[in-house]
Amino acid sequence: MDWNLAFLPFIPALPFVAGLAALFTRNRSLASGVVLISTLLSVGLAIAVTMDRNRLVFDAELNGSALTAGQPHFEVGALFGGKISSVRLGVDGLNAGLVLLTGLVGALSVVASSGLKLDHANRYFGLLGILIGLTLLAFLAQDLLVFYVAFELTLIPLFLLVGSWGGPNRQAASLKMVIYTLAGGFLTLLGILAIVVQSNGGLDFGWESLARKAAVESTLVAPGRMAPGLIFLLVCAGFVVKIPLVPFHSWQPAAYAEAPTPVTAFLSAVLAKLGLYGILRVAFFLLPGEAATLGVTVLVPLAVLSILYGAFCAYGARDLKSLLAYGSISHLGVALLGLLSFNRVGVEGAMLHMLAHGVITAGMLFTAGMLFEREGTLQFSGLGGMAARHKLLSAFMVLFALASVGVPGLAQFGGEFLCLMGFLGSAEYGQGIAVAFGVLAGIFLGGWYTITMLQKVLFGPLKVHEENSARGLGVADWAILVPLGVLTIVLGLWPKPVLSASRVESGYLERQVQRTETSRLASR
Amino acid sequence: MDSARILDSCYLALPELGMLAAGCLFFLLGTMIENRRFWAVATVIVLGLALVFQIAEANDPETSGNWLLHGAATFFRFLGPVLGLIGTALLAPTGSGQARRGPEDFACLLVACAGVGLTGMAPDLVVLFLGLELVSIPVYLLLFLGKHDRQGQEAAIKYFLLSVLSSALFLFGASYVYGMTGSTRLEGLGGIHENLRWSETAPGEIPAARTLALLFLLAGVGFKITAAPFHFYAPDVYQGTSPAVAGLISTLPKAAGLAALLRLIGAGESALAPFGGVEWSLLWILAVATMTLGNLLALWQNNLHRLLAYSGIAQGGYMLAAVSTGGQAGIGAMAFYLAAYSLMTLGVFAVLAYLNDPDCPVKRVDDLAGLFRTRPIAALCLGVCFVGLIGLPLTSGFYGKLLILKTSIASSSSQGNSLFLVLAFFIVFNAAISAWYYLGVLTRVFLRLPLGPQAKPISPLPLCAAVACSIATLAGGIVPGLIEPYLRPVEKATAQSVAVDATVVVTANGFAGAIEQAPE
Repeated sequence: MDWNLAFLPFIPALPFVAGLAALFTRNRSLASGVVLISTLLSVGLAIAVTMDRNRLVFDAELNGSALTAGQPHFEVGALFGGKISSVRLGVDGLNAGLVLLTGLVGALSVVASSGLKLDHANRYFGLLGILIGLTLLAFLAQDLLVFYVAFELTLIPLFLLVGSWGGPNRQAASLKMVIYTLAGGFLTLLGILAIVVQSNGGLDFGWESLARKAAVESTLVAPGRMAPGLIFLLVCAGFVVKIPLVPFHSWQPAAYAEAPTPVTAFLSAVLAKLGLYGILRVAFFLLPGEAATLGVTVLVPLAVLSILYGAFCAYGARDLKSLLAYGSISHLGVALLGLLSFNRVGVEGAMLHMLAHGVITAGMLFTAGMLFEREGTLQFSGLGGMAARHKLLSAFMVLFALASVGVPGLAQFGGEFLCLMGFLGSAEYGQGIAVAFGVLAGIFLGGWYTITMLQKVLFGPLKVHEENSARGLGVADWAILVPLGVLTIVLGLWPKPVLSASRVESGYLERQVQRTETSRLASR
Repeated sequence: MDSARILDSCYLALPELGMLAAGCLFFLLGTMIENRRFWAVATVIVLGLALVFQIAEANDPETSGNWLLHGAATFFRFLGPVLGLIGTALLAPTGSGQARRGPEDFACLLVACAGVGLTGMAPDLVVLFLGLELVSIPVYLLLFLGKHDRQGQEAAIKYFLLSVLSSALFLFGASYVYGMTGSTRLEGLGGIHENLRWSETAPGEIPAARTLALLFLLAGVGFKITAAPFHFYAPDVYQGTSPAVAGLISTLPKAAGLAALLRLIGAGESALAPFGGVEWSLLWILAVATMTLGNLLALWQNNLHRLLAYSGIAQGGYMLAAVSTGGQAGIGAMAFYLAAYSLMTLGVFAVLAYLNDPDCPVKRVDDLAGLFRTRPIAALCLGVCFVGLIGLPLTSGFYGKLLILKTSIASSSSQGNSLFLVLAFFIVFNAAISAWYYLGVLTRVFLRLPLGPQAKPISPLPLCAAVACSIATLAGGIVPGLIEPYLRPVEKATAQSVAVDATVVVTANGFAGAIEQAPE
């Protein structure tokens, strides 16, 4: 019970410290081994903590208390001198699944990097470890300052990882990515500070207390105070770039295409979720009133635009990685719609969708990386007939592709379905119809471009004729593909644990939004 | 004024007077002893003694509560010698120029550090002016003694002429104040309104003379802070001099200028708003113009010194923004940011001084390409300092920006004035713009391959300074809680209302009279 709270700080610290240590080793296998083992250890710790958490949340529900009674969190007060912020970490329904996903995909990215040709591989693995640790910290933080610090700091390892070990245009891509995210991030900082300063004078960055105040505070307007609507937009700015949604996405295809494939997998499977998670945890929970009004007005069109635009661009993509990048934009738009429903069905569905998308997109990108190792290209013009040469790999690719299309029984179907259902449940009639058509068009296009991609890559005449590239799956490849494949099927058949994990939080959000709605109507 | 009181007063300013005396001694004895190392060690000893004395005095119960000596004054009196110590490490290998010279550089450094301290503790417009000049004059010398090429001469002349102009503006403004109040005491400023000798305006109105005085004083101080539109000299001057001197120019005069600004607008009794409240709006405009112009112009720079000059202009804008919020928290935030900025910028210049090799000079941004491959430690120091200047977390730059943004949001809601929210937006947008050129440097340092032959450093001393600056930058971001308690007195002391001492202290009484303690 209490003993595993002491585990919490080790979950982000292990990969981070291992990464730092790996920077100073000279041996590639030592560096990767240290980072891998520490990441796996922190996955183990995360599993232990989240298992315990379920019981605590159950207690909290029985007691009828709103949100966080008995919510485990760990404080390291001394680090910031106790003056501004203590490092508060905790696991709740919003982050439990994402922490596990981060650990898993992080560990698999380390494994997948073992086949890459790398200069200064120790630095690569060190930075990857640091990136994993910081991402875990961002997800675990129960404190806005710690969350923001971790969120921004992920940029430094990313900048170096993409810029040093990426493709030919890596430097421009990495610079663009960092500038975009930083610009958004500074706006988010301003928004977070406005929330904190206006609700308690800038003394307490703790998420829990801010979330409790939210329903009362968010509608308060006075001269000189930043309007809550403006705060909402500011907070969303950084996260919208991170996901990314469509008008703010132009850093993403280049970054995904240039980054080393395991880093792309981590970016797409985990870091994109950090954007959605930030919107949910900071913008929606701390400003529920604005989220239900302004949030819907602004974010729903962006989400639909992302779904359609992403799908069209993916259809036009010429190589596998940019197809996946654009596809990712499209899929995450659906998850955002689920969050924007503000009811339990939609929010739980979005949580499931985020996890499923993480697993599937990681699977697609890892298979793409394996294909690249064997064939040396990901351009559709250079690929074709791969099913005949890499039978098992192709089987996995088909599995992930079908899952991402939304075939029932595989991971993504449930999430997409619930997101749409939740949104239709809460939206006004005309808006719901319009959005539903957009989403359905996006899903249809998703099927189209994915199946076309399979056709171009796997089937048809063989375009490459070097025989030596045809080798089977190695141990590392199996280690990557089997867990992801199994999860793809398990999440499709038995999504209940994921859905019920965020039950308390999504219910709380639903009530908060309703309460602010009624108080708004009453005040009129 | 009897001699015992003069001695007492001198005792209070002992560190500054000591540094001044040591500087004069250096100039005299420099003709006899040419050994550079000797003088460097002597400088470090003098600065160290000054710091020790400061610590002793800061904890002295007898003087505590005296606003002249505590709070913001203590901060600037510490900052001077600390920057001086780092500056010594930068100057030690080659000095102001390529030629190895005797102790003049160090003497100039000592005098400038004393000037920062004196400005910070000045109780009187005359001492304030003296302090500012004590910073400016050594800088002329450093610039003149340095390079003898055309750019160097241009830099020296430009700085000299514009600095003299700014001094004249400052004095002109000060003469207005004296004319209105009949006093040069800074506490008297708080009572400008009551002490008005001649005024044709009704009570409650702001006389035009007061605004004029403020404008001229601000112009004079603005030169030192390189606030737009008084910033024109900075890029040319930085470009025309060695990294070590450029590092000093980017920090010491800025610190002195901000100290003078605090003395003028907030030191006496801030609640009275000596200039009738106009100062906040003027500072607001100055801050926005400075940061925006600095950052936009920095985008086009290819020369490292020019880039850093514009970066320094822009960063000065953030500090002005902090002061303009008008609260005591703003002054604390400014102090933190000034210290952070000074260390980060000195860190960058320390690396440039370390790489300063006449055979393959590091002038353009591209000359830093691939530095991480050839000199990883220097590159890491540059990385930390630039990341701090961008304002990424875990650096003092981030924490400083956080404090500034917090105070502007807070004073917006407490004063009901949305202009401070606009200010916060300007800061945020500027931070995003600045990320572009800082990251451009970092891209070259960490991601590119070396272009040509690499510089062969003469001495490891500047690198040590750079490492120290980087560690301080990280410490200020990771454990700001360690530093924050020391900002409290800065905020508190300026908030104390001080009994107005209306006695006219004329210049003839000089320094001693000015330092005399304010009666309770």
